[in-house]
Amino acid sequence: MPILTATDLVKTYPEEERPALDHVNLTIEPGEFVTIVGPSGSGKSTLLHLLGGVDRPTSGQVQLYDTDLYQLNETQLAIFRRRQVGLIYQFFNLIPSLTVAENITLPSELDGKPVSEGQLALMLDQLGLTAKRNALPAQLSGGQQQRVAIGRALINEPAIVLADEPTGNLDQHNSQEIMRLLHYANVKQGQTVIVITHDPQVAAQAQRVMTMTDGHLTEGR
Amino acid sequence: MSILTKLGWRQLRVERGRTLLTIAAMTLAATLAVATLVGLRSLQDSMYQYQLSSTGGMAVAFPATAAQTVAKLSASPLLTKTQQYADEGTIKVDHTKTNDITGAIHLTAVTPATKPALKSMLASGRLPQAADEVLLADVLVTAQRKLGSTIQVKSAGHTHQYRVVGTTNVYASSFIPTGGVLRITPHLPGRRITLLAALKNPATGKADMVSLTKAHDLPVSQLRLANQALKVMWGAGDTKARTTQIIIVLVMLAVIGAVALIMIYTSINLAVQARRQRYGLLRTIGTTPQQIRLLVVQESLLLVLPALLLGGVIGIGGLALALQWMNRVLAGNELPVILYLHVDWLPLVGAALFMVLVTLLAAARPARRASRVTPIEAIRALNPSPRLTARKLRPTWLIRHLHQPMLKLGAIFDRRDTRRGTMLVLLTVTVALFIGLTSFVGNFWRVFESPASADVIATLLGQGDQTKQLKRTLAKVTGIKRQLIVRTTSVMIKSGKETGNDLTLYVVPEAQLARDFGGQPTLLNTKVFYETAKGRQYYAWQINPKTNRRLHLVNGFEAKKAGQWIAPQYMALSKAPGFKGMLYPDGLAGLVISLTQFHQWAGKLGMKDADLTSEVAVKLSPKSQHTAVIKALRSQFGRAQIADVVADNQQSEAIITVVRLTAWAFIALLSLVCLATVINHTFANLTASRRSLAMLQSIGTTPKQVLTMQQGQYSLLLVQGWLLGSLLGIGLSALLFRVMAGAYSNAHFVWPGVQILVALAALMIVWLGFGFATWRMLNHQNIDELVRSSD
Ligand SMILES: Nc1ncnc2c1ncn2[C@@H]1O[C@H](COP(=O)(O)OP(=O)(O)O)[C@@H](O)[C@H]1O
Ligand SMILES: [Mg+2]
Repeated sequence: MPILTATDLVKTYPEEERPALDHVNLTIEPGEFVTIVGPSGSGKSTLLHLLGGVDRPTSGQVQLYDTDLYQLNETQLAIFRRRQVGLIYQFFNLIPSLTVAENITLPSELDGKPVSEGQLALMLDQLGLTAKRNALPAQLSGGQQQRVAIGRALINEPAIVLADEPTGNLDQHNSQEIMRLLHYANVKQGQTVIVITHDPQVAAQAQRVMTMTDGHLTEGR
Repeated sequence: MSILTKLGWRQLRVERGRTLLTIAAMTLAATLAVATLVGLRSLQDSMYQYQLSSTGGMAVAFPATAAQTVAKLSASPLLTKTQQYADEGTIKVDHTKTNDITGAIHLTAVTPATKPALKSMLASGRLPQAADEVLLADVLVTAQRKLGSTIQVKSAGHTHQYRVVGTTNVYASSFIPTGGVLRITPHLPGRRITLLAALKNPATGKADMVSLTKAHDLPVSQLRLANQALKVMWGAGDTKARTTQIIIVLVMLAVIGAVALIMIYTSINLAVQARRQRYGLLRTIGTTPQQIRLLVVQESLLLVLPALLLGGVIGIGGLALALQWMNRVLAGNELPVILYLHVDWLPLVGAALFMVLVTLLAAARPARRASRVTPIEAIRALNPSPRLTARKLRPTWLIRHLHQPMLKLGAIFDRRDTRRGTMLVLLTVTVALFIGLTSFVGNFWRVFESPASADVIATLLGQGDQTKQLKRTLAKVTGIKRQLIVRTTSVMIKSGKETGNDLTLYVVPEAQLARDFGGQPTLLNTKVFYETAKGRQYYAWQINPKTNRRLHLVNGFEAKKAGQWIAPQYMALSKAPGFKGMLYPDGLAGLVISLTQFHQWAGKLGMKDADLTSEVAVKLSPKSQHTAVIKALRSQFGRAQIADVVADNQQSEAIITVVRLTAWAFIALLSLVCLATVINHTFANLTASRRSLAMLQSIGTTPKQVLTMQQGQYSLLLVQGWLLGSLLGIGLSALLFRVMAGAYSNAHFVWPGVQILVALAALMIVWLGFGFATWRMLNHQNIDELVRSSD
């Protein structure tokens, strides 16, 4: 059974003539590592946001196993995001007044499930941020900030990890480090990962590549 | 502590400037609430004490009864202090010249506890100290029986000798009988003892005392209560007075509530707006709308708690100082009221609940807004651009005609500023409230003010020309600020529109008429209220100068005489040199002429020099000199009719002064709260525009240029708010005035010009402060960080 199914997804932004997503269909099996490539403005981010439940489609469905996401109310959708989805953005979107450790554990704390010290230490170790645990985002480099964002996305061990150009603002070395972490989540923890990227090297590392052009999604590159 | 609470705390600490500003603004509102409630409570208590000063603090007198019942009554927990007196029956005093006394004379024995009340009854002398000393009613004083003399009192078959050491004023309003003879003794004789008491709970005074009286089988009809005083405490069973007072309190609370609500709402709303991105981010990682809502409410409550504590301290401290100052003002004017600070839990708890309630109300909408922020907003709109209609994008007349580039940019920003609406409403409300309320209150107590008149006026009937003697007498007393000595008589207007009106003739020396009135007979006109048959009231000259160019004056007592035609010049009494402020402005119109003119007309009027009465009016500083002036006049002119205006006005002035000072303090604080809101809003907007200002700076705009732009933008807003607010304020004042004018006929509308200028001055200060803060910010910001960061 597919973990994520999109059926006839259409998204038209208000005051726009052409839809940003035009009848997109998509099935993703559990444990897949998928990349989506395509020119800027083709609708990649739009699709990702719809899959992650942070925006609502104009028409069409997104299903996680049997659950139709957009039948849920705001509260249920929020809880869905908190538990099932980990979102990572190109800009790191950290809360500047919280420390590294606090930013990472924020989703679990919100769920009322404090993260154990061991689990946090393990995560920080994975991310290579042990030394920075009490630093504020402003005191980190771009690569470090993005790793914090990944830690925050993974802490609840979500079924799906969605990343929107996670390496877009980073250099070669940092990009590889980020991809290593995402592969680790996919291989070692069996999480399903969908990555949007411009980077051909990044795309090459995936089992499955899809291409977005003008709101249409096609298999392959 | 949950992560959300922690986040709230952290947020408040990071945005320290805004947090402190918000707490300061909330503190002002809390101060206003505390000061108003505690102030009203204190005022109520002070008025109660004032009303009871003549009874020595006693609020109830029970029916006369036997000593055992008195003892049982005294034990009631409803009573605090008690005093007693006993009627020892009617007496015969020797040499009674009874023609000025009706009914029997009573001998009354009082306990030493009544001394405070006796003191306020004392007309002369002192209180008795020895057992054979008594007080005598002043109406019983005769040539033989007076202060210091010994009197024989026959009562119950015995004769006693007493020495009179003081006299009492029969008109004193006290529970203790004032018309006879009073002696002080610790042990009251007889079976008819009256218990006087102060009340523990004045608010339920009447009901409590009635049931207490019934419980002891005493006749309720003979129960006496200090009703005026109890009314103040809502304890006289007078539901109407109580309702009126509760309505006043509620209206005041509503005004404070509205202002505090606007203020707290804007502070929270601003904070929420500034954090939209944050809330969106929290939403993407799965915070529920409810949790966000809770976060906002929690933060607001975190702010209101310190504000309440501070407000309590400042409110009570400020009130103590204000009362002290008011007491000084009252004492300086010899007004017999003392204001006490009365702090009890009810107003404090009331103020706290009130503030929390207002905060919850104020936080509701911003919290709902915050909870509605969609996650996509945080991800997508890094710098959300406002929704602007095509109309807003078109340049206005002003923008097209401004050539200074930075001012032009300022005008464009002003036009496209989405927060402008809130700010403009705020400014307008602030200015309108200030102007409307101050001008209304000004108009309101002008009504109660005793009309500007002299402090002492004396008339020497039928004593010929006494002007020189009057001058000499007054020269010996100090404290005279102005004096008017004039000879007067009264004539009647025979024809012309104002037929039948009396007119006072003021006869002055030739030189004075020439100096002050150009030698012309001058009609001193006053404005008075008229009412039409339909009940419409209007304010007009007592003698219409247009329809009464010529007046025919006659002597009202000499119908056969021809009278005198005159064509006087008209002058408002309020402008007349020497006369203004010395005669009642709403009294009769008067005609000033010279002595020569009087003598020329005397024949036709059927009058002679001896018909002129000498009159003197003086204005004093300090007013306390009135007794000295009266004493001097009395000793010189035994038969003078003297009006002691100072004494007549004293009581009403005391109350007006208290009310007036209170009202001013209230408005001042209210305006301050409004102004604090404006300032809070201004600075929050400034902080919110940090990033865009940094952007401007990053492309090479100098701080000076940015400052010009910002100040240009802000002045557009201030000027508009001031204009709109002034218009609305005049409207508000006129509206309130109309409501009031229905009840008080002597009210007249005064334009709030001064208030409008004061508001402008206050706004200019805010403008300068804004410029200063902008300048500081521009020179201290880290442009690089602001331009690169996304939050
Ligand atoms: N909030 C929005 N309002 C209107 N149009 C939008 C909005 N967000 C994205 N778009 C438009 O939708 C299309 C797809 O955008 P996006 O999904 O961000 O593309 P990609 O991520 O592939 O670069 C673009 O043409 C973009 O301009
Ligand atoms: Mg994109």
